[in-house]
Amino acid sequence: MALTLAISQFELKRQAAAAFEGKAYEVFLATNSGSLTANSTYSAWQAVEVASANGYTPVTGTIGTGAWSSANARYELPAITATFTSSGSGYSYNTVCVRIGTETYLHSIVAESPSITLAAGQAKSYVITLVQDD
Amino acid sequence: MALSTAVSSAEMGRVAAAAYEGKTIRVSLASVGTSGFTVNSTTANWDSTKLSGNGYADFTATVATGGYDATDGRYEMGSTAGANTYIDAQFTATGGSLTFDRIYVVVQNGTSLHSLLTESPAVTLAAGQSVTYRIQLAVGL
Repeated sequence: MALTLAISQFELKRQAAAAFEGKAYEVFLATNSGSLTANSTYSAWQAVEVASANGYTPVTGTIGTGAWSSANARYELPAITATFTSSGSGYSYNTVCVRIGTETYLHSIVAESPSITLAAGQAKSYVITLVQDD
Repeated sequence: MALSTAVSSAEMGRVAAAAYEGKTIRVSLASVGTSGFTVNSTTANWDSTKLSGNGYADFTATVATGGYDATDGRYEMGSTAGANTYIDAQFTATGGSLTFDRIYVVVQNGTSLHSLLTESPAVTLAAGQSVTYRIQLAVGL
């Protein structure tokens, strides 16, 4: 006797609409001494955010409407491309932080090892794709 | 150069709250027959194949606030609060038998299904017999 389960693609769309579409996002850079994790608060991460100087500024926007990807069999939100540019004397960081809305906690972190240093005139982009999958 | 990503457990809770908590869950039984319906067919399609008579009744429940299960690394929900909770959808035949091969789940009266379970071969409940499907909703990586 076999019992098999399938999740509707429309359910994944429903979840994406409820959780992501139309919500604000913020991507910012930080320097983690090692004490913070993905489960640390937004305010704790903000305390170690790269200083607003030398061209650094966080990237903000609104998550758009996604679409079902037959190729990947998942619902994909529009990619977020967060580009950071350096000027002056540049800056360094080792963590990219993503926050949705005004949540107390982050959505996720991306850790760079070793840390990244952007010299004046350099830029680095992170492409973040939010998906609902089963 | 290594790049590693971690999603916070609180984010799983946020997605769960947005998608499930406080919403009604309906579990229904059907026989697909020759309809050709799939998991991506509409709720109305599936309702047209739903069982009736002999004690059949849809099972409904409301999703409670869940909890993060550190062992499983995911946020879990059921009909009672906390992690490691479930929705136990029970069906009983009375006065005659019930035969079905599909179990479908609908969230908040949606026009599309949440999910579809397939029994193969079909299940027949004789009068007085019951079957329970244990469903756990979870948000993980």
